[in-house]
Amino acid sequence: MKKITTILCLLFVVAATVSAQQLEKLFEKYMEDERFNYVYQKRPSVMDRLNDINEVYSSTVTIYNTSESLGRQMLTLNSADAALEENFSKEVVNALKADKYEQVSIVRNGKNRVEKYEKKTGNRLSKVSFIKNPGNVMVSWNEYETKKK
Amino acid sequence: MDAQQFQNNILCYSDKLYRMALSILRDENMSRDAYQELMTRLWEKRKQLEKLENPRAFLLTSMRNLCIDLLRKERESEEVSPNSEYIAPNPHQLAEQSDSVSFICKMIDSLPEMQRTIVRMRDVEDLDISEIAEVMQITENAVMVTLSRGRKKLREIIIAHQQNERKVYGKYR
Amino acid sequence: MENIDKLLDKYFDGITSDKEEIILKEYFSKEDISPQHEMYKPLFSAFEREKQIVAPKFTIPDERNEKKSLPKRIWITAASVAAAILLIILLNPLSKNAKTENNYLVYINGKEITNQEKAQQYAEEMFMKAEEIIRVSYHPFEETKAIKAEMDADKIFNDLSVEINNIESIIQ
Repeated sequence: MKKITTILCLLFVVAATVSAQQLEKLFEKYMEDERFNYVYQKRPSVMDRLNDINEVYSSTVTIYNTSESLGRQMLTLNSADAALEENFSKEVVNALKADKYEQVSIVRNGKNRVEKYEKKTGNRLSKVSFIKNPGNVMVSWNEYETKKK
Repeated sequence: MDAQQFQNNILCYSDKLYRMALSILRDENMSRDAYQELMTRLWEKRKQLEKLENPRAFLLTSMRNLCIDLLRKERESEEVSPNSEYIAPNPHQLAEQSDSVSFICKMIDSLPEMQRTIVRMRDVEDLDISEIAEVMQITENAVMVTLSRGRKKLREIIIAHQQNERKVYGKYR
Repeated sequence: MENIDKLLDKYFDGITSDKEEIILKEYFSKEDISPQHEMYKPLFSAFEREKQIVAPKFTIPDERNEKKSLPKRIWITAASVAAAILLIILLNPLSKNAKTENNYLVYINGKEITNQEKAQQYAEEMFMKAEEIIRVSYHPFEETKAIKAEMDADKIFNDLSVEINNIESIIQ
Protein backbone atom coordinates (compact mmCIF):
# COMPACT_ATOMS: atom_id res chain seq x y z
CA MET A 1 0.00 0.00 0.00
CA LYS A 2 2.80 2.35 0.88
CA LYS A 3 4.54 1.46 -2.35
CA ILE A 4 1.50 2.35 -4.40
CA THR A 5 1.12 5.70 -2.64
CA THR A 6 4.75 6.53 -3.24
CA ILE A 7 4.52 5.68 -6.91
CA LEU A 8 1.36 7.74 -7.30
CA CYS A 9 2.96 10.76 -5.63
CA LEU A 10 5.93 10.35 -7.88
CA LEU A 11 3.80 10.24 -11.00
CA PHE A 12 1.94 13.30 -9.83
CA VAL A 13 5.19 15.20 -9.34
CA VAL A 14 6.45 14.07 -12.71
CA ALA A 15 3.23 15.05 -14.43
CA ALA A 16 3.27 18.44 -12.79
CA THR A 17 6.87 18.97 -13.77
CA VAL A 18 6.34 17.79 -17.27
CA SER A 19 3.19 19.75 -17.96
CA ALA A 20 4.69 23.22 -17.87
CA GLN A 21 7.83 22.37 -19.74
CA GLN A 22 6.88 21.47 -23.24
CA LEU A 23 8.24 24.62 -24.87
CA GLU A 24 11.42 24.34 -22.87
CA LYS A 25 11.83 20.76 -24.01
CA LEU A 26 11.24 21.80 -27.58
CA PHE A 27 14.01 24.33 -27.39
CA GLU A 28 16.34 21.86 -25.81
CA LYS A 29 15.51 19.32 -28.43
CA TYR A 30 16.50 21.46 -31.35
CA MET A 31 19.03 23.94 -30.05
CA GLU A 32 21.95 21.78 -31.02
CA ASP A 33 20.30 20.38 -34.10
CA GLU A 34 22.29 21.13 -37.21
CA ARG A 35 19.24 22.23 -39.08
CA PHE A 36 18.56 24.98 -36.58
CA ASN A 37 20.16 28.05 -35.19
CA TYR A 38 19.84 28.94 -31.60
CA VAL A 39 20.59 32.07 -29.70
CA TYR A 40 20.18 32.78 -26.05
CA GLN A 41 20.80 35.91 -24.13
CA LYS A 42 20.84 35.57 -20.41
CA ARG A 43 20.27 39.11 -19.37
CA PRO A 44 19.27 41.56 -22.03
CA SER A 45 19.79 45.14 -21.06
CA VAL A 46 16.96 47.56 -21.08
CA MET A 47 18.32 49.02 -24.29
CA ASP A 48 18.00 45.61 -25.87
CA ARG A 49 14.43 45.51 -24.99
CA LEU A 50 13.32 48.79 -26.36
CA ASN A 51 11.02 46.93 -28.62
CA ASP A 52 9.08 45.57 -25.73
CA ILE A 53 8.10 48.92 -24.33
CA ASN A 54 5.05 49.39 -26.43
CA GLU A 55 3.91 45.87 -25.98
CA VAL A 56 4.31 45.12 -22.33
CA TYR A 57 3.37 48.36 -20.72
CA SER A 58 2.04 51.62 -21.93
CA SER A 59 4.60 53.81 -20.29
CA THR A 60 8.36 53.82 -20.54
CA VAL A 61 8.76 54.36 -16.86
CA THR A 62 6.79 51.33 -15.95
CA ILE A 63 8.93 48.88 -17.84
CA TYR A 64 12.17 50.09 -16.41
CA ASN A 65 10.98 49.78 -12.87
CA THR A 66 8.61 46.98 -12.70
CA SER A 67 9.90 44.17 -14.76
CA GLU A 68 13.09 42.25 -14.98
CA SER A 69 14.02 40.17 -17.91
CA LEU A 70 14.76 36.56 -17.24
CA GLY A 71 16.41 36.04 -20.55
CA ARG A 72 15.42 35.58 -24.11
CA GLN A 73 16.09 32.84 -26.56
CA MET A 74 15.33 32.14 -30.14
CA LEU A 75 15.23 29.08 -32.29
CA THR A 76 15.40 29.45 -36.06
CA LEU A 77 14.82 26.90 -38.75
CA ASN A 78 16.19 27.83 -42.14
CA SER A 79 15.06 25.18 -44.46
CA ALA A 80 13.67 24.68 -47.93
CA ASP A 81 12.02 21.50 -46.73
CA ALA A 82 8.33 22.32 -46.42
CA ALA A 83 7.54 19.11 -44.57
CA LEU A 84 10.14 19.85 -41.94
CA GLU A 85 8.81 23.35 -41.50
CA GLU A 86 5.32 22.00 -41.20
CA ASN A 87 6.32 19.44 -38.59
CA PHE A 88 8.29 21.91 -36.57
CA SER A 89 5.43 24.40 -36.67
CA LYS A 90 3.07 21.76 -35.39
CA GLU A 91 5.43 20.87 -32.57
CA VAL A 92 5.67 24.51 -31.59
CA VAL A 93 1.91 24.99 -31.55
CA ASN A 94 1.44 21.78 -29.54
CA ALA A 95 4.05 22.82 -27.02
CA LEU A 96 2.44 26.22 -26.63
CA LYS A 97 -0.94 24.61 -26.11
CA ALA A 98 0.43 22.14 -23.58
CA ASP A 99 2.10 24.92 -21.64
CA LYS A 100 -1.15 26.88 -21.66
CA TYR A 101 -0.06 29.86 -23.70
CA GLU A 102 -2.73 32.24 -24.95
CA GLN A 103 -2.64 33.50 -28.48
CA VAL A 104 -2.81 37.28 -28.41
CA SER A 105 -2.39 38.23 -32.07
CA ILE A 106 -1.89 36.91 -35.56
CA VAL A 107 -0.69 38.98 -38.44
CA ARG A 108 -0.60 37.68 -41.96
CA ASN A 109 1.21 39.44 -44.68
CA GLY A 110 1.25 37.47 -47.87
CA LYS A 111 2.98 34.25 -47.09
CA ASN A 112 4.40 35.56 -43.87
CA ARG A 113 2.75 35.11 -40.59
CA VAL A 114 3.51 36.33 -37.10
CA GLU A 115 1.73 34.81 -34.13
CA LYS A 116 2.13 36.06 -30.63
CA TYR A 117 1.50 34.10 -27.46
CA GLU A 118 1.53 35.08 -23.84
CA LYS A 119 1.35 33.40 -20.50
CA LYS A 120 1.26 34.84 -17.07
CA THR A 121 2.09 32.61 -14.14
CA GLY A 122 2.13 34.52 -10.89
CA ASN A 123 4.84 37.13 -11.30
CA ARG A 124 6.24 35.66 -14.43
CA LEU A 125 5.24 36.84 -17.87
CA SER A 126 6.23 34.74 -20.85
CA LYS A 127 5.96 35.98 -24.40
CA VAL A 128 6.50 33.90 -27.47
CA SER A 129 6.64 35.18 -31.02
CA PHE A 130 6.17 32.61 -33.69
CA ILE A 131 7.33 33.87 -37.07
CA LYS A 132 6.76 31.96 -40.24
CA ASN A 133 8.20 32.93 -43.58
CA PRO A 134 8.66 30.57 -46.46
CA GLY A 135 11.96 28.87 -45.86
CA ASN A 136 12.18 30.28 -42.40
CA VAL A 137 10.56 29.62 -39.04
CA MET A 138 11.49 31.40 -35.86
CA VAL A 139 10.38 30.99 -32.32
CA SER A 140 11.34 33.78 -30.01
CA TRP A 141 10.78 33.41 -26.33
CA ASN A 142 11.07 36.16 -23.76
CA GLU A 143 10.44 35.96 -20.08
CA TYR A 144 9.91 38.74 -17.62
CA GLU A 145 9.37 38.97 -13.97
CA THR A 146 7.07 41.75 -12.91
CA LYS A 147 8.12 43.29 -9.66
CA LYS A 148 5.65 44.78 -7.25
CA LYS A 149 6.17 48.43 -6.47
CA MET B 1 15.62 -21.52 14.15
CA ASP B 2 17.78 -23.32 11.67
CA ALA B 3 17.20 -26.53 9.77
CA GLN B 4 18.59 -28.73 12.51
CA GLN B 5 16.44 -27.16 15.20
CA PHE B 6 13.41 -27.41 12.96
CA GLN B 7 14.18 -31.06 12.47
CA ASN B 8 14.51 -31.69 16.19
CA ASN B 9 11.72 -29.56 17.59
CA ILE B 10 9.07 -29.56 14.90
CA LEU B 11 9.59 -32.47 12.57
CA CYS B 12 9.63 -34.86 15.52
CA TYR B 13 5.84 -34.47 15.57
CA SER B 14 5.46 -35.30 11.90
CA ASP B 15 3.77 -38.64 12.38
CA LYS B 16 1.23 -37.35 14.86
CA LEU B 17 0.44 -34.45 12.60
CA TYR B 18 0.00 -36.62 9.56
CA ARG B 19 -2.22 -39.03 11.42
CA MET B 20 -4.31 -36.13 12.63
CA ALA B 21 -4.84 -35.09 9.03
CA LEU B 22 -5.75 -38.65 8.06
CA SER B 23 -8.28 -38.84 10.84
CA ILE B 24 -10.02 -35.64 9.84
CA LEU B 25 -9.76 -35.84 6.06
CA ARG B 26 -10.02 -39.62 5.70
CA ASP B 27 -8.13 -39.41 2.43
CA GLU B 28 -4.49 -40.21 1.99
CA ASN B 29 -3.79 -37.79 -0.86
CA MET B 30 -5.47 -34.87 0.83
CA SER B 31 -3.66 -35.69 4.02
CA ARG B 32 -0.30 -35.73 2.32
CA ASP B 33 -1.06 -32.35 0.77
CA ALA B 34 -2.23 -30.95 4.09
CA TYR B 35 0.87 -32.22 5.80
CA GLN B 36 3.19 -30.70 3.21
CA GLU B 37 1.36 -27.43 3.34
CA LEU B 38 1.49 -27.24 7.11
CA MET B 39 5.17 -28.05 7.19
CA THR B 40 5.92 -25.44 4.55
CA ARG B 41 4.02 -22.80 6.49
CA LEU B 42 5.72 -23.80 9.71
CA TRP B 43 9.09 -23.53 8.06
CA GLU B 44 8.30 -20.07 6.81
CA LYS B 45 7.20 -19.01 10.27
CA ARG B 46 9.98 -20.81 12.07
CA LYS B 47 11.19 -17.70 13.81
CA GLN B 48 7.88 -17.31 15.63
CA LEU B 49 7.85 -21.00 16.51
CA GLU B 50 10.94 -20.55 18.64
CA LYS B 51 8.86 -18.80 21.25
CA LEU B 52 6.41 -21.67 21.70
CA GLU B 53 6.34 -23.31 25.09
CA ASN B 54 4.25 -26.27 24.07
CA PRO B 55 4.79 -26.82 20.39
CA ARG B 56 2.98 -30.13 20.23
CA ALA B 57 -0.46 -28.81 21.15
CA PHE B 58 0.06 -25.77 18.92
CA LEU B 59 1.08 -27.93 15.97
CA LEU B 60 -1.83 -30.30 16.35
CA THR B 61 -4.25 -27.40 16.59
CA SER B 62 -2.74 -25.88 13.47
CA MET B 63 -3.10 -29.12 11.58
CA ARG B 64 -6.66 -29.53 12.73
CA ASN B 65 -7.58 -26.00 11.71
CA LEU B 66 -5.92 -26.46 8.34
CA CYS B 67 -7.84 -29.66 7.70
CA ILE B 68 -11.15 -28.21 8.76
CA ASP B 69 -10.46 -25.31 6.45
CA LEU B 70 -9.72 -27.70 3.60
CA LEU B 71 -12.96 -29.56 4.20
CA ARG B 72 -14.90 -26.34 4.25
CA LYS B 73 -13.40 -25.27 0.95
CA GLU B 74 -14.21 -28.66 -0.55
CA ARG B 75 -17.79 -28.35 0.52
CA GLU B 76 -18.08 -24.85 -0.86
CA SER B 77 -16.57 -25.67 -4.19
CA GLU B 78 -18.85 -27.44 -6.57
CA GLU B 79 -16.13 -29.50 -8.08
CA VAL B 80 -15.82 -32.04 -5.35
CA SER B 81 -14.15 -34.99 -6.94
CA PRO B 82 -15.79 -38.31 -6.27
CA ASN B 83 -12.60 -39.66 -4.81
CA SER B 84 -12.53 -37.22 -1.97
CA GLU B 85 -16.05 -38.02 -0.89
CA TYR B 86 -16.17 -40.23 2.07
CA ILE B 87 -18.44 -43.16 1.65
CA ALA B 88 -19.12 -44.96 4.86
CA PRO B 89 -18.39 -48.60 4.32
CA ASN B 90 -21.06 -51.15 4.76
CA PRO B 91 -20.06 -52.91 7.98
CA HIS B 92 -21.28 -56.26 6.88
CA GLN B 93 -19.51 -56.21 3.56
CA LEU B 94 -16.32 -54.99 5.14
CA ALA B 95 -16.33 -57.60 7.79
CA GLU B 96 -16.53 -60.29 5.22
CA GLN B 97 -13.83 -58.88 3.02
CA SER B 98 -11.10 -57.79 5.40
CA ASP B 99 -9.79 -58.76 8.76
CA SER B 100 -11.24 -57.48 12.00
CA VAL B 101 -8.55 -54.93 12.64
CA SER B 102 -9.01 -53.21 9.29
CA PHE B 103 -12.69 -53.36 9.94
CA ILE B 104 -12.29 -51.52 13.22
CA CYS B 105 -10.09 -48.88 11.60
CA LYS B 106 -12.71 -48.22 9.04
CA MET B 107 -15.39 -48.14 11.65
CA ILE B 108 -13.48 -45.53 13.58
CA ASP B 109 -13.49 -43.43 10.42
CA SER B 110 -17.24 -43.66 10.33
CA LEU B 111 -17.56 -41.86 13.64
CA PRO B 112 -18.29 -38.13 13.67
CA GLU B 113 -15.13 -36.06 13.36
CA MET B 114 -14.81 -34.92 16.93
CA GLN B 115 -15.34 -38.39 18.31
CA ARG B 116 -12.91 -40.14 16.04
CA THR B 117 -10.25 -37.45 16.42
CA ILE B 118 -10.49 -37.46 20.21
CA VAL B 119 -10.53 -41.25 20.43
CA ARG B 120 -7.41 -41.43 18.29
CA MET B 121 -5.67 -38.66 20.21
CA ARG B 122 -6.19 -40.68 23.36
CA ASP B 123 -5.74 -44.22 22.15
CA VAL B 124 -3.27 -43.86 19.31
CA GLU B 125 -1.31 -40.75 20.25
CA ASP B 126 -1.52 -41.23 24.04
CA LEU B 127 -2.22 -37.59 24.82
CA ASP B 128 -3.58 -36.45 28.20
CA ILE B 129 -7.08 -35.19 28.53
CA SER B 130 -5.78 -31.70 29.23
CA GLU B 131 -3.73 -31.59 26.07
CA ILE B 132 -6.61 -32.95 24.01
CA ALA B 133 -8.78 -30.22 25.49
CA GLU B 134 -6.18 -27.64 24.41
CA VAL B 135 -5.99 -28.98 20.87
CA MET B 136 -9.74 -29.32 20.41
CA GLN B 137 -10.33 -26.08 22.30
CA ILE B 138 -13.03 -27.54 24.49
CA THR B 139 -13.22 -28.30 28.18
CA GLU B 140 -11.69 -31.43 29.69
CA ASN B 141 -15.14 -32.55 30.65
CA ALA B 142 -16.30 -32.22 27.07
CA VAL B 143 -13.29 -34.27 26.01
CA MET B 144 -14.21 -37.08 28.36
CA VAL B 145 -17.85 -37.06 27.32
CA THR B 146 -16.96 -37.19 23.64
CA LEU B 147 -14.34 -39.84 24.26
CA SER B 148 -16.91 -41.96 26.02
CA ARG B 149 -19.43 -41.54 23.24
CA GLY B 150 -16.91 -42.54 20.61
CA ARG B 151 -15.72 -45.58 22.45
CA LYS B 152 -19.25 -46.71 23.25
CA LYS B 153 -20.22 -46.36 19.64
CA LEU B 154 -17.31 -48.57 18.72
CA ARG B 155 -18.42 -51.07 21.31
CA GLU B 156 -21.87 -51.09 19.77
CA ILE B 157 -20.38 -51.76 16.36
CA ILE B 158 -18.20 -54.52 17.76
CA ILE B 159 -21.10 -56.20 19.52
CA ALA B 160 -23.35 -55.91 16.50
CA HIS B 161 -20.64 -57.34 14.30
CA GLN B 162 -20.08 -60.21 16.66
CA GLN B 163 -23.76 -61.02 16.77
CA ASN B 164 -23.84 -60.86 13.02
CA GLU B 165 -20.96 -63.27 12.76
CA ARG B 166 -22.67 -65.65 15.05
CA LYS B 167 -25.73 -65.47 12.87
CA VAL B 168 -23.75 -66.05 9.72
CA TYR B 169 -21.34 -68.63 10.93
CA GLY B 170 -23.46 -70.09 13.63
CA LYS B 171 -25.13 -72.32 11.12
CA TYR B 172 -21.90 -73.97 10.22
CA ARG B 173 -20.87 -74.85 13.74
CA MET C 1 -10.63 -61.03 35.53
CA GLU C 2 -12.84 -58.54 37.28
CA ASN C 3 -10.15 -55.92 37.31
CA ILE C 4 -10.11 -55.83 33.57
CA ASP C 5 -13.89 -55.72 33.42
CA LYS C 6 -13.95 -52.77 35.78
CA LEU C 7 -11.28 -51.05 33.79
CA LEU C 8 -13.17 -51.70 30.59
CA ASP C 9 -16.26 -50.11 32.05
CA LYS C 10 -14.27 -47.09 33.04
CA TYR C 11 -12.67 -47.10 29.66
CA PHE C 12 -15.93 -46.87 27.80
CA ASP C 13 -17.08 -44.19 30.19
CA GLY C 14 -14.00 -42.23 29.25
CA ILE C 15 -12.74 -41.90 32.79
CA THR C 16 -9.73 -44.18 32.85
CA SER C 17 -6.50 -42.60 33.99
CA ASP C 18 -3.31 -42.76 31.96
CA LYS C 19 -1.99 -45.63 34.04
CA GLU C 20 -5.22 -47.57 33.80
CA GLU C 21 -5.22 -47.26 30.07
CA ILE C 22 -1.67 -48.56 29.95
CA ILE C 23 -2.77 -51.63 31.93
CA LEU C 24 -5.60 -52.26 29.49
CA LYS C 25 -3.38 -51.89 26.47
CA GLU C 26 -0.76 -54.19 27.88
CA TYR C 27 -3.44 -56.74 28.67
CA PHE C 28 -4.88 -56.70 25.16
CA SER C 29 -1.48 -57.00 23.54
CA LYS C 30 -1.00 -60.45 25.04
CA GLU C 31 -1.85 -63.58 23.13
CA ASP C 32 -4.04 -65.30 25.70
CA ILE C 33 -6.87 -63.25 27.11
CA SER C 34 -10.18 -64.23 28.58
CA PRO C 35 -12.76 -65.27 26.01
CA GLN C 36 -15.24 -62.58 27.06
CA HIS C 37 -12.61 -59.97 26.26
CA GLU C 38 -11.72 -61.44 22.88
CA MET C 39 -14.12 -59.22 21.07
CA TYR C 40 -12.26 -56.11 22.16
CA LYS C 41 -8.91 -57.32 20.98
CA PRO C 42 -9.33 -55.99 17.43
CA LEU C 43 -10.14 -52.57 18.87
CA PHE C 44 -6.88 -52.29 20.76
CA SER C 45 -4.99 -53.92 17.93
CA ALA C 46 -6.43 -51.33 15.54
CA PHE C 47 -5.01 -48.57 17.69
CA GLU C 48 -1.63 -50.25 17.71
CA ARG C 49 -1.74 -50.62 13.97
CA GLU C 50 -2.56 -46.96 13.45
CA LYS C 51 0.46 -46.05 15.53
CA GLN C 52 2.58 -47.50 12.74
CA ILE C 53 1.44 -44.94 10.20
CA VAL C 54 4.26 -42.54 9.40
CA ALA C 55 4.23 -39.12 7.82
CA PRO C 56 5.55 -38.51 4.31
CA LYS C 57 8.96 -36.94 3.99
CA PHE C 58 9.21 -33.20 4.26
CA THR C 59 12.30 -31.66 2.70
CA ILE C 60 13.42 -28.58 4.49
CA PRO C 61 13.94 -25.87 1.86
CA ASP C 62 17.48 -24.75 1.25
CA GLU C 63 18.11 -21.77 3.52
CA ARG C 64 20.61 -20.25 1.15
CA ASN C 65 17.98 -19.84 -1.57
CA GLU C 66 15.68 -18.14 0.86
CA LYS C 67 18.21 -15.57 1.96
CA LYS C 68 18.35 -14.26 -1.57
CA SER C 69 14.72 -13.23 -1.39
CA LEU C 70 15.27 -10.60 1.27
CA PRO C 71 18.13 -8.75 -0.38
CA LYS C 72 16.26 -9.07 -3.65
CA ARG C 73 13.39 -7.08 -2.24
CA ILE C 74 15.79 -4.48 -1.01
CA TRP C 75 17.41 -4.32 -4.44
CA ILE C 76 14.08 -3.85 -6.14
CA THR C 77 13.12 -1.10 -3.72
CA ALA C 78 16.50 0.58 -4.09
CA ALA C 79 16.37 0.31 -7.86
CA SER C 80 12.91 1.80 -8.05
CA VAL C 81 13.91 4.66 -5.77
CA ALA C 82 16.99 5.32 -7.86
CA ALA C 83 14.92 5.19 -11.03
CA ALA C 84 12.44 7.62 -9.55
CA ILE C 85 15.13 10.07 -8.60
CA LEU C 86 16.68 9.73 -12.04
CA LEU C 87 13.33 10.33 -13.64
CA ILE C 88 12.82 13.51 -11.67
CA ILE C 89 16.25 14.77 -12.58
CA LEU C 90 15.83 13.96 -16.24
CA LEU C 91 12.41 15.48 -16.51
CA ASN C 92 13.43 18.61 -14.70
CA PRO C 93 15.22 20.51 -17.36
CA LEU C 94 18.40 22.10 -16.25
CA SER C 95 18.00 25.82 -16.02
CA LYS C 96 19.82 27.75 -18.64
CA ASN C 97 21.38 29.86 -15.97
CA ALA C 98 23.22 26.86 -14.73
CA LYS C 99 24.18 25.74 -18.19
CA THR C 100 26.14 28.75 -19.21
CA GLU C 101 27.95 31.31 -17.19
CA ASN C 102 28.31 33.44 -20.24
CA ASN C 103 25.69 35.92 -21.12
CA TYR C 104 25.24 34.43 -24.56
CA LEU C 105 24.74 30.94 -25.81
CA VAL C 106 24.72 30.44 -29.55
CA TYR C 107 24.49 27.39 -31.74
CA ILE C 108 24.67 27.71 -35.48
CA ASN C 109 23.64 24.56 -37.26
CA GLY C 110 24.45 22.58 -34.18
CA LYS C 111 27.86 24.09 -33.63
CA GLU C 112 28.45 26.12 -30.54
CA ILE C 113 29.99 29.52 -30.94
CA THR C 114 32.36 29.67 -28.06
CA ASN C 115 33.83 33.06 -28.80
CA GLN C 116 31.68 35.31 -26.69
CA GLU C 117 32.22 38.38 -28.81
CA LYS C 118 31.07 36.62 -31.92
CA ALA C 119 28.25 34.99 -30.06
CA GLN C 120 27.06 38.30 -28.76
CA GLN C 121 27.16 39.96 -32.12
CA TYR C 122 25.34 37.15 -33.78
CA ALA C 123 22.70 36.90 -31.11
CA GLU C 124 22.01 40.60 -31.08
CA GLU C 125 21.76 40.61 -34.83
CA MET C 126 19.27 37.75 -34.76
CA PHE C 127 17.13 39.33 -32.09
CA MET C 128 17.08 42.57 -33.96
CA LYS C 129 16.07 40.89 -37.16
CA ALA C 130 13.23 39.09 -35.45
CA GLU C 131 11.99 42.28 -33.92
CA GLU C 132 12.16 43.95 -37.25
CA ILE C 133 10.14 41.21 -38.85
CA ILE C 134 7.51 41.51 -36.18
CA ARG C 135 7.36 45.24 -36.57
CA VAL C 136 7.31 45.05 -40.28
CA SER C 137 4.64 42.40 -40.33
CA TYR C 138 2.24 45.22 -39.91
CA HIS C 139 3.66 46.83 -43.03
CA PRO C 140 3.10 46.07 -46.66
CA PHE C 141 4.35 43.09 -48.51
CA GLU C 142 7.54 44.35 -50.11
CA GLU C 143 9.51 44.88 -46.93
CA THR C 144 9.10 41.32 -45.75
CA LYS C 145 10.76 40.01 -48.85
CA ALA C 146 13.80 42.06 -48.10
CA ILE C 147 13.99 40.75 -44.55
CA LYS C 148 13.82 37.14 -45.62
CA ALA C 149 16.93 37.55 -47.70
CA GLU C 150 18.77 38.97 -44.76
CA MET C 151 17.77 36.15 -42.40
CA ASP C 152 20.20 33.67 -43.87
CA ALA C 153 22.17 32.58 -40.82
CA ASP C 154 25.34 31.57 -42.55
CA LYS C 155 25.49 34.82 -44.44
CA ILE C 156 25.06 36.79 -41.25
CA PHE C 157 27.72 34.78 -39.54
CA ASN C 158 30.14 35.07 -42.39
CA ASP C 159 29.57 38.77 -42.57
CA LEU C 160 30.15 39.03 -38.87
CA SER C 161 33.29 36.95 -39.03
CA VAL C 162 34.67 39.08 -41.80
CA GLU C 163 33.88 42.21 -39.84
CA ILE C 164 35.48 40.93 -36.69
CA ASN C 165 38.55 39.78 -38.55
CA ASN C 166 38.81 43.20 -40.05
CA ILE C 167 38.52 44.81 -36.66
CA GLU C 168 41.15 42.52 -35.21
CA SER C 169 43.54 43.11 -38.02
CA ILE C 170 43.06 46.81 -37.63
CA ILE C 171 43.77 46.67 -33.90
CA GLN C 172 46.91 44.68 -34.50
